Amino acid sequence: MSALARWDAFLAQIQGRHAQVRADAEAEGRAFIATVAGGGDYLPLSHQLGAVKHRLQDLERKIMDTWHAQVDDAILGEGNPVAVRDAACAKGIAIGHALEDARDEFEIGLMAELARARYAAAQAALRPIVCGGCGATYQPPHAFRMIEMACACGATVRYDPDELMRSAGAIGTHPISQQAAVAEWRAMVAADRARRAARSPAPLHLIQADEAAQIAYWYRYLAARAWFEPELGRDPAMEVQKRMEQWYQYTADHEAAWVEAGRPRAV
Amino acid sequence: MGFLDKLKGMFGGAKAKAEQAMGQGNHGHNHDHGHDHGHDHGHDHDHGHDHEEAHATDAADQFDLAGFNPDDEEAFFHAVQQMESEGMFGGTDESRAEIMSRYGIRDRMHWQGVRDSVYSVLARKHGSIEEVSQREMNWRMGQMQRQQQANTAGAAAKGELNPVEGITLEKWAAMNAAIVSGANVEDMLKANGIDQGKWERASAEWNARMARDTTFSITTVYGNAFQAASQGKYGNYAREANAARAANREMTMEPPMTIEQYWELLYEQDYGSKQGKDPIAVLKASGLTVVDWTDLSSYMGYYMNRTVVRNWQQFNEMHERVKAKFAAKYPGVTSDVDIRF
Repeated sequence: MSALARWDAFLAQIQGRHAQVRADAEAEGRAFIATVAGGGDYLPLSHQLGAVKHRLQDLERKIMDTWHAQVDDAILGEGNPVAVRDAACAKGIAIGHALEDARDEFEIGLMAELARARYAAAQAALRPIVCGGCGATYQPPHAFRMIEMACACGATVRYDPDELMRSAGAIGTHPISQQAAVAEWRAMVAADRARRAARSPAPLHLIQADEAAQIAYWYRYLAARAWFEPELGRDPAMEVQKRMEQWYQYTADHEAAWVEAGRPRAV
Repeated sequence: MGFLDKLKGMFGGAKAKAEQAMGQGNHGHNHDHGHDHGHDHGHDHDHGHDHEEAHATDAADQFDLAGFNPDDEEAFFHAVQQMESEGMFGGTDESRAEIMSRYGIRDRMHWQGVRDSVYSVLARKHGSIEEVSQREMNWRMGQMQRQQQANTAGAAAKGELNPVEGITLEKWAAMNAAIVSGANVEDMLKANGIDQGKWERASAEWNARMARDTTFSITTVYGNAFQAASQGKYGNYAREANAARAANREMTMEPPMTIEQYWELLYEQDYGSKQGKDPIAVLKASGLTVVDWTDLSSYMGYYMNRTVVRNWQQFNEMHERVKAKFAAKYPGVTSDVDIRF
């Protein structure tokens, strides 16, 4: 079998194993989630996901490790032109990226599922809040941490979420926000890879595409996250600008095309 | 890429260059010299061009310090960084032109010869190229530390370090340290005159500030304050490491364990994670709490930064030894070995 055919077969095996490991872990994870939706220690799921993540990452790494150790030389050694070698390499890189994305989304998906299950159970257990001063009752507000409200009688009424509600917030804040922004995330990762692939000095349009994709992601992600952490919704532009600052300072400002264009920051 | 690999990448090329130069005396003629120019120096400039240029002229092989003074090694380290790196601390076309003008560097090939000559002189002066590389590493860490301190000052100027509901970042960190160490939250809040609502609002705001602080200024202050309050058995080590890091100096306390023992702890955790074990349980099995581990890592991390380049060979041997030991200890952990090219 030619080196190219063996490379294709190798990549197919990696993809197949990656998918199988994810599917098995997903089934196990779902079964576990059903047992802790109403409470209990969910950390075993996190630890299990950690182990699965290690294995998936090892599979992903295996692609380029194998390429460098064996495939590159084998393909050229069979007399293939450099362009054919480069295309085979690009194929491996693209598959590696796709597997990395699938791994990210798999982990996020299971944790979001657990958070949703807990939130539903916590919602079902909600009880009206009673004012200690006058006995008036209030519907619990949407919150994952303590809220103090003023009662009409002048007393302070406190909503103190129970452990289940608090854990729904603690577990779900990132994965649910991330799921809401998954399209923007994918676009951002793609734009980042494109800029990196061009290598510095990158052309301005790739730098600006990267910038725009990041800004779109942060707006979407933070808007979703504000459901858990309301303070993030107070000044979204400031929140996004703060998160972009590092990229401007440490990446864009070191690109000649960006500097020559007058550092055209969008935020 | 692991920590050791990164260090190797950063300084491996310099080591090779100076070893060659030391072996050659001041004559500097070595026709293999150009073949690995820049390839493993860990910098971002265009290595391919170096390779071609090395064949075009032997200017790089001439011993020449140009305008560099070997007694001012920081100026030289700065020039290397500017000439051979991009990015945050690296150079620009303008800064490279300025350095070439200041030190009388004619072209890129001339620079390579000058660079290797200065490394060889420094290696003689300090006894080994490893020592020179360590000094360069220390200089770079000091530079990063100064940048971090500037970031923190910037965050303070913008009000990001102002107290929240009367709770300073240092106090919040100290209270979190107590919570992680097992203090009763209600008792602690009561003792500090803080009600639960205020505590949660302050925690939310500090967490939010940290999340948008991409320069890690708040995290750094928080981490130092957290460890300043540590009651763990390695608390003093962490405090010493933080003080030494801030001043970019050597530590005065001897390490509490060998690097090999520390490396074994790292491997224990790595293998535990691969097996889906609870990391806290893995630490506990090693006789450590989370606070112990955080404190110990602060110390050992800095200790390695200050020694690993100097002792590169011993580190490498130790790493291989520990790696083999743990591969033998956990034979069933590596999966997917059936997939081969």
